[in-house]
Amino acid sequence: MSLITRTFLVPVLAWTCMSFPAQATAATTDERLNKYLEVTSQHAKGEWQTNLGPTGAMGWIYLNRFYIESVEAGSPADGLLKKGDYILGVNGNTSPVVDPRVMLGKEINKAEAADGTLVFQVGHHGVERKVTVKIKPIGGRSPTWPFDCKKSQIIRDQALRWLRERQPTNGIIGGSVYSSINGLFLLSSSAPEDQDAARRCAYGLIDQDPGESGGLSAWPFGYGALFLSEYYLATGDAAVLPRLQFYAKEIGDGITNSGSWTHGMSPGGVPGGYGELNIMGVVCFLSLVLMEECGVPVDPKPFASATHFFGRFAGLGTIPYGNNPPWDRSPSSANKDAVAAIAFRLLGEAEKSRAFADDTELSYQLTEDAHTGAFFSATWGPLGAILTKNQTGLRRLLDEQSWYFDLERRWDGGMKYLPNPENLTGITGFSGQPIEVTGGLCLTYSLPFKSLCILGGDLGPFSKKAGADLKPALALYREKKWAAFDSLTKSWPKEAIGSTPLGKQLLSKRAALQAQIDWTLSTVDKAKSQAGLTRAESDRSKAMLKAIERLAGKDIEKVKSLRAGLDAVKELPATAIVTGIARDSGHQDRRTWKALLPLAKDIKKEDSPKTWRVHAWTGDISPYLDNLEPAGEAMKGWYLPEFSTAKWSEKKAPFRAHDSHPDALFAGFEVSLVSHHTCMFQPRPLYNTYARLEFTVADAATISAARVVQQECHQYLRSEVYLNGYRVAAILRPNTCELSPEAVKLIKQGKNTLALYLASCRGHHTEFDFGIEVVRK
Amino acid sequence: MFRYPVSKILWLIACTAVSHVAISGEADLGKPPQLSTQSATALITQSREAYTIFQRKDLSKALASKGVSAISELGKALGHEHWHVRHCALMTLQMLAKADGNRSAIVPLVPKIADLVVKDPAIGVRWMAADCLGTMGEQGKGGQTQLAHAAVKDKEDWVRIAAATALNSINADVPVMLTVYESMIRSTDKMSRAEGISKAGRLHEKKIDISSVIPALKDVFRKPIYDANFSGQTRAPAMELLNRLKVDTTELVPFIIKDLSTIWTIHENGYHPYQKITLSIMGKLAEHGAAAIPTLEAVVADPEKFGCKRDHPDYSKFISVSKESLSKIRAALAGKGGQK
Repeated sequence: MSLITRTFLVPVLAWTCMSFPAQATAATTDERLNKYLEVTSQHAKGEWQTNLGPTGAMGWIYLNRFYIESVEAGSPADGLLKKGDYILGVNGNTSPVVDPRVMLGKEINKAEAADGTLVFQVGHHGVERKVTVKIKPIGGRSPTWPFDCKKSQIIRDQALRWLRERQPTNGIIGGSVYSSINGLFLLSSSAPEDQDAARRCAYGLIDQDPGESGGLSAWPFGYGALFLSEYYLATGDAAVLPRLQFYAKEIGDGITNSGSWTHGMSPGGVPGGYGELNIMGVVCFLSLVLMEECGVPVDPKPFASATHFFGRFAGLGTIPYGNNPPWDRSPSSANKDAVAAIAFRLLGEAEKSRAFADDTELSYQLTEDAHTGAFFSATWGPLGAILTKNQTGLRRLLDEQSWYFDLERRWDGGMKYLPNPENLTGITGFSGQPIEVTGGLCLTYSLPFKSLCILGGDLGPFSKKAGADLKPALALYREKKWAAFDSLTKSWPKEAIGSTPLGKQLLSKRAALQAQIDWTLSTVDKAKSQAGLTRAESDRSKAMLKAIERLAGKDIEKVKSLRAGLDAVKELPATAIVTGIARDSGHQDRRTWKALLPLAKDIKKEDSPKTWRVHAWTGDISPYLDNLEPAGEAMKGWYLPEFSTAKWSEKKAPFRAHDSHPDALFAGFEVSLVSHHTCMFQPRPLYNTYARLEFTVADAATISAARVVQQECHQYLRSEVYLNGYRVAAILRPNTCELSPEAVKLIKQGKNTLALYLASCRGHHTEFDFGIEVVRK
Repeated sequence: MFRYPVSKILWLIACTAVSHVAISGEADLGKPPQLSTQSATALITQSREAYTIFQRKDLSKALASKGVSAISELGKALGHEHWHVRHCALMTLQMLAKADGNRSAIVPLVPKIADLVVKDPAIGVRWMAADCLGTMGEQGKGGQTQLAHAAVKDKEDWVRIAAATALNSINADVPVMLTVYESMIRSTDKMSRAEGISKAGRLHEKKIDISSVIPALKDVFRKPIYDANFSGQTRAPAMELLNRLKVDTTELVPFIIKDLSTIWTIHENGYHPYQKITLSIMGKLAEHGAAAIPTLEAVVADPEKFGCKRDHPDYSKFISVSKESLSKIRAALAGKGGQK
């Protein structure tokens, strides 16, 4: 592009497009596009909903609007917003042309800084109204958040309480991966109640069967090892060391020949599936670094191999997917670089740590198209970026992402991961329930405390780096021989070991441990003395006693009497904690569904084949479905029955839209050097397909229900379904989608047109097909 | 990054602004102000503290905007003690070398750059030095020996592949390229092997005789390496190249059949994608694949005997790939009049 074109023509064209947004042209067919969608989109349901900050409302996004799907009982928006509402603006701001999340996140912060008032401009079936929702005015983010920020402190405290209240008696909060991350967050707080919860989280983990290596074991092993290492370094509790030894062996043996890890372990070094999954591999690497610091035997060969694998990316681009060259086109790594920055800081390789931290700080735009979407970006980004020396850049990252940190907050103190908006392909396979993500998304708020190695903290006295003078005392600590430990440390000369930083820390850890024991006994004692306890409270108290005895490494006399006392307390009926997320009712569909338009796989060989008209192209995402002009072709009204598909190709069902290599051929790279996973976190082409099919219905009047069914669709496929010119469904992943009763009425006697828009970021490398099933009266 | 056309438009505007800034230095976008107005020495000095490639790219663009007048300073920077500086200098030289008119001014630095390809301790520098020589085209041919050495001997695959690519770009002597590519094809490193096959194929497209690599291509099947994940395919392109070379691959059939029972350490319900690729390669045997027909028929009859369980998501694919290969072989044999 010439300088003149770049300097003048592009802005002029861009301004022209901005002045006449595609929405304006869509208005003429707005009804066709939106009439039936609200009730048939599958995006909105259950755990895939987007959280609207601490309002308690949840929903989904299409184009520039939030569509409300549910409002939680007791939340600020309860009774004010309702299912089917769509948000047109907030506090006088109209929803932007794209992605209303940023605006709402920022307005929430402004409202919390003032009196908590959010005035929503709401639409419902075409009727507009104003709705005022009052959220708690906990203050706005300070210019230095999470440092010196009252709001950050409140959010952190609420989240810690939220997790503590939901910790089951077995200690595991969420699955083992998320429990480990939640455990890290709890461990980052020095409050005795949080230390108690973190301890029970750790014991819960080591009491669980770790399962076999293979499959997806890199996730629980990597995060489990990370949590237990931090736990050991923070507490010196040797109870977790056997499990760490197990992890060290499995993770060491499971490294790939190149030096990373896949979803699972790769004994023998041959990666399964699609190769190195570095978003997890780098966590396994960090866990090896920390386990080594714990003094756990780590095989030096995989350790060196991983150090080399990840170290060589430093300063040359961000860590890619797979065993591929670094990504040097844009700083975007889903924060694999953040984890690497932490690992290399602990290894003492300051330059590499700095390079990764600077990459992270430059990746200030939230990366959402990644494994789990933005969860790991939001979890690790600030933790790695804090290691940069570029404070302006760090600030930019935190401020750019602050909207996300406000929108993910629930009204009750927990967090809810925000799935990608509907406009995207929904690449993430992660719904991010509050119990899974609250700890991870709040680690940033613990940064000021530097209480863990991943938060910039020091290794502390339990690290293998502790000097020889501390070794005898450390051995007694590990063996939980407290009398001998106390006697030995009392004999330390004041001017010597006891006054060294690590010596002081060790003594303080011993004092903290005793305080933990005292706090637990006193807390349970108080609980016991209440007039009544629920079963959950009683069980939790017993679990606390069990854990403190384990920490102490001995039976504690007072525990016996407390247990007996708990048994004697009258049990109250349990009170349910409102988690509030609406779930599908799960009732069984007993209706008889029969094919109206059968799938290719159900058509007999002797019958004539089913044939689609298909137009496919590869390019950017096109949210304005009424105004598609791919590759310069006029596509306006492509879904209308009268549209001519003469230029489209004819494909026998099941059809493959793109004949290209299944891996995205990306920007001139050779296939051998790049896979779609290399560019998973980077701008990449979207595979668009338009497909149409005419079918005949003989007895439309007898149809009482209809649903769209799919064959062989890839999990990353998003489809929009149009029936006789009306969009009737938006489907994420290969789901069956029942049409609304109104949409069913669109099926007419005689000729009907089914049109599809299919979007995938992965190419359509499966042969797929769509059909319609109906229930007859 | 580009989620919507509008954001793309905004991005284009931003790009326009950035490129405008790079030329006029009118605005501050968080980068060092007025980068392009600073002296070459000042920019090179700054590169020491540019820890990311993105920062060094910005500096290199500013340096490159000075044209060949910066080459003397860049030459000195190639000997700097810190790799950031050497890397930034090389990146700038590469940018300059993209313009034909600049290359003759860079030629005197070729020996120095070639030295960096083989001697620099920093992987990024060796890699960029190889890239830089490649960008020089035929005027980088003075680095042929070092590139050939790096393509075979460097411990890092990125450098090996960059050096092999550069050999092609500088129009290296054919025997040198063939020796390098043969060595790469025989490598046990997947990426090198894949690149060796690909690059040998490119030579063939240029009507260059590559028959000396045929034994190595056949050995890809005799000594296969795991190539089932997405990057670094080896067997399929090797078979395609052998076909293009019109080599009789009948002797390879037993090895490919044996591949079907190769047990790699990771399994998905006892079945591995490696096998699916093997089945597909059988189809590529075409008229030389008669001996594979019974095996393919056995797979179609009962995939479970080959480890693919009925409940596996790829079960139907396992059959359809086999059928496809069967029909390819049969069609080829029919075309040759030798249908079994």
